[in-house]
Amino acid sequence: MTSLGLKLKVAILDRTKDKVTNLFRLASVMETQLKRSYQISYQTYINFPISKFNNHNRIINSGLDGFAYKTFFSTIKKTVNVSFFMKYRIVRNPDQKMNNEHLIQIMDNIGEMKNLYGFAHNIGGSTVSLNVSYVNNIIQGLDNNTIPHELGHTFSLLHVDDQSTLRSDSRQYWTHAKQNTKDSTNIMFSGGSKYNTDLTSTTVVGDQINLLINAYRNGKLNLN
Amino acid sequence: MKLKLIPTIIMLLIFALLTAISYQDNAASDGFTKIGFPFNFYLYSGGKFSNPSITSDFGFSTKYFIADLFILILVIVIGNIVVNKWRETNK
Repeated sequence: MTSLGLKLKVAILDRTKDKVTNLFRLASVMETQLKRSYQISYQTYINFPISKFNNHNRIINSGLDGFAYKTFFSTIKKTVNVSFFMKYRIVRNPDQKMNNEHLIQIMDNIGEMKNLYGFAHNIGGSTVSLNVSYVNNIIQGLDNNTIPHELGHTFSLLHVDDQSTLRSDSRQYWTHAKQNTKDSTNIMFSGGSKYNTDLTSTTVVGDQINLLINAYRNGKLNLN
Repeated sequence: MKLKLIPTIIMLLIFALLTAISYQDNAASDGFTKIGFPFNFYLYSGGKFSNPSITSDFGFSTKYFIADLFILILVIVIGNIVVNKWRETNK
């Protein structure tokens, strides 16, 4: 069994004109929702290299040439328990965001934000904008999807169903048949999907956690 | 009026540059993917909207594409007129 700790530091900023949102309440709900979605237990197969010796310290030789220095891979099945930790602070302007933080900013329902629940500024980035018109639903527990979904983008996850975007990553796509049977409550369905619902789209699968880990190891997370 | 090759190519390059500068690809993270200058002839978003009718504008827009082409032709013609006048005054 392996334990994995996801640690997220968040700076929360209200950029609206009226500033009516209770940011402390929002932070508390955010932590609850992220724990609900990302704190999972899953089984995965891990390849690890064995060179020269296996677990019993016996030399492993290649079947054909007999040389011992060849690298062999052994596959083992592991259970991974994911824990999620979040720390937050309230900031007054975007410049106060530190490099090791994600910025969650609440925006007015105007311009590009008009009628849009929220968006992540980049895949693997560290800024998320939320539309103030729908933040109350999040606080009241009527929308359990928007925050885990947008932060999912900053964790490098793409939509599982969206094949219309110009940038594509085949690892993220499930066929329509699989969407229903595999995980129809996944957080990463696109906004237009019939499987994306505010209340019940809350789950993450192990493959997505593995993608997150790979992105972190390859330096593709916490980008500005 | 006869179009000159070099001013026409320069206008085309400027237009292509402005199209490239104004290009956005944020649909994958719920923002907008926009192509086209000055009008977006391709618009798409993977985000969630409270008003689903907004998504009916998504995709390729022939209307805006023709408008962009029309403006491009207009810019080329005006550019050539300006260049011709400038050459005449500097002869």
